[in-house]
Amino acid sequence: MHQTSTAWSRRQWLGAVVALGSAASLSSTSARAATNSTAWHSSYAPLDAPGFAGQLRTDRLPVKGSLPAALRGTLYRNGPARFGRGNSRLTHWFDGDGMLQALRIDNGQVSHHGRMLVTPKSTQEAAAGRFLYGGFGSTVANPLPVTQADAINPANINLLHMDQGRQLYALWEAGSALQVSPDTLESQGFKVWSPETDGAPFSAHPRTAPDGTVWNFGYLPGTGKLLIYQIAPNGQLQRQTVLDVPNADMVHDFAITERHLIFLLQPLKFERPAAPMPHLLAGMAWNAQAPMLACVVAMTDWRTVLIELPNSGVFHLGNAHERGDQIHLAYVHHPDILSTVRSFDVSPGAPHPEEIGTVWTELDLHLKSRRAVVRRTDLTHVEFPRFDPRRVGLNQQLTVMLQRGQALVGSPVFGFNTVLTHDGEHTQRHDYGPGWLAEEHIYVPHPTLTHEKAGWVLGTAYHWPTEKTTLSVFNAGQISAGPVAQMPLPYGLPLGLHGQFVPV
Amino acid sequence: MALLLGLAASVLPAQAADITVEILPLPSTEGTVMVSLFDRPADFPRAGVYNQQITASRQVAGQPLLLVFTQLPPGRYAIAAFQDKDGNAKLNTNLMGIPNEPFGFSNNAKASFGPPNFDSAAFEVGAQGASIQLQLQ
Repeated sequence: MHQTSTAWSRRQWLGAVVALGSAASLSSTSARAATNSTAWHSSYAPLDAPGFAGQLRTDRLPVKGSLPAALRGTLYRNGPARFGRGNSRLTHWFDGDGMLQALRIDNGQVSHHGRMLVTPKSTQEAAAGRFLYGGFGSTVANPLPVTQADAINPANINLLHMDQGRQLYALWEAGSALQVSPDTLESQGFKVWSPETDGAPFSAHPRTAPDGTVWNFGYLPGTGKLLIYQIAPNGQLQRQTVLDVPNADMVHDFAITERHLIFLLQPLKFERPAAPMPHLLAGMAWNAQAPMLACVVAMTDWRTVLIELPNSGVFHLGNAHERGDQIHLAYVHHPDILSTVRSFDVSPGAPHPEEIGTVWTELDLHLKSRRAVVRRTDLTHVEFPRFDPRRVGLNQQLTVMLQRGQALVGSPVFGFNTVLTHDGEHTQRHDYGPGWLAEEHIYVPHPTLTHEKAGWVLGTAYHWPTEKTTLSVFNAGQISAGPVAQMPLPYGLPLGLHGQFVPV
Repeated sequence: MALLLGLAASVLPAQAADITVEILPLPSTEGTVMVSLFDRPADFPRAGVYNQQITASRQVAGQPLLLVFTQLPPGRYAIAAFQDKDGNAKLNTNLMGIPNEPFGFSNNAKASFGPPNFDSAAFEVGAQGASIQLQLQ
C-alpha cells in the first residue's frame, strides 16, 4: 500500500509539472514505483494521471558521447499509451490510445516531442470522461456498438512516411491510416486512398520499395480476403485489389521482393459467434494441426502460389529477396501466439506475460515445386526485426532485433534487454543491463555511404527503476562496442511498438 | 411529421396493425433514409417485404423522422434501415464489404463482422400495432 500511494502522488505531481511545460524538472524525482512484475506497466501510469495534458516536450536533451555529424533526421515512434480514462480502464496492451514520439537529431542536438494522437474515438471518449469502446482484447462497461472499425481506431501501432517525409501516417491494423503533421504531430484525420477503400483496413506494416512505391494490405477477420494497396511515392493510390486466400484472420505483417508480395498465413481462425463477443480476441482459435501457409502473390497479375509450412505463429517478418524461382525470407516464429497475445494484460496486478520462446526462422520458398526449406536458427527469444530501408525486397545482410537476454528469460520482467545485429553468420549484442527495457531499435542508413555497416542503429530504452527513457545511437557494424551516443530524457516514455526514421 | 403510406396489399387481413418507425436524429441530413420491413428470416436484411423512404432533409433539428407501415397482419417483424447519402439507392460499402453509410436495425441489434440475424432484430406486432425506434450509425 505504501508503494502504491507514493507512486500515485508522484504521478499526479508529474502530470501537473508536464502540463506546465517544465518537464526537465521531472528528473529530480526519486520515487520507486515499479517492481519486477510491474516494470512494463509503470511506463504507462504517468499518462493516466489527471494532470497529463497530452504532450511531453524537451527542447534540448543532454548528449553523452559523440553523436555522428552525418546522422540527421527524426526518429518517430508510435505505441499504445493511454489505458485509463476516468474510472474506466482498457486491459489489453494493443488497445491503448496511440502516442506519437518525435526525437529530432540535427547539428549535434537532440529534442523530444511526444503527443497523444487524436482520433474520433479519443475525442468521443474524452467528452464522455470514460472509455466507450472495448477493442481487440479489452472490454469496458456498457460499451457502445461498433459499426465502423475507425470508430475504435486508436492509431497505435506504427508509422508510414512518404513524399520525403512530408506525409506522415499513424497506423493501426483494422482501420484507416491517421494523417499526422510531421512538424507539430497534430492529428489531421483519416486518410482516404480511394472511394472504394474508404474506411477499409490499412495494415500497420506497409513496405516501401527502393523506388518509393508503398505496398500494403488490409484484412477483415472471418472474410478470407486480403485487400492490396499499391501507392506511388507521392501518396497517390495506383492499384487496389481484393484477393481470396485460405485464411486471413490475423495477418500483422508481410514482405515484398522485386516481383512478389509474401504473406505468412498462420492457422489462427476467427469464428463469428452467434452471441456478441466481449472482444475480437475472444473469437480466435488456434489450429495446432494445420500448416502455416506461405502465400506468394505476383505484383503484376496477382497470381497466387500457396506453399505449406510447419505449424507456426507470426507477427513480424524480416526482409525477403528472390533469385530465380526461389524466395528467401526470415520471420520470428511464435510457438504459441494465441496464448502470447492473450497474456498481454496491462491491468494493475495482472500476471506478467509468459515466456514466449520465439525463434528467428529462415525460409527458402521454391515457387515451381511449391516446396519450402525451413531453418529454425539458434537466435531465440527475439522480436522486432528491422533492416536497411534502402534494400527492402533486395538481398542484404544486417538484421537488427531485440532479444530477451539470459538475465530476463524466465524472470517476471516483460520485455527485452538486449539489441543485436545479425548478418546471417555473426551476431553482435548490446545488453542494456539490469533495470532496462529496450524498445524496437531500427537501422538508419548513412546518408552517403552505401555499405550497411556504415549506418547506425537507433533505439530507446526505458529504465524502470527510475522510470526514465534514453535514446541510444550505435554504429551498425559495432553494436557490441556499446552506444556511441546516449540522450537521456527527463521522463519515461510509454513502452511502444514501432518507429520510423525520416532523414533531414 | 408522419408519412402515412397505405400499402397496396391485395388482401387485407381481418385484423390490421400499424408499425410506427421513429428514426432518431441523424448527424447529417444528406440523401434519403431507406427503411425495409421484413417478415421472413431468410430475407433479412436484404429483401424487405415492404420498403419506404423518407428524405433526410425533412428532419427538423433534434426531432426524429417518423414513418408508418400500415395495415399489417399481426406477427413477427424486423426492420433494417440506412441513409442513402449519395442517392444511389444502395448501402455503399468499401472493397472489404464494410458499410460506409449510416445504418441500423430494430432493437438496435448490433452488427458484428456482418449484419445481425433476424431474431436479434425481431419484434412482435399485435393488433394494437407497434412503435419502433431506430438509431442509424
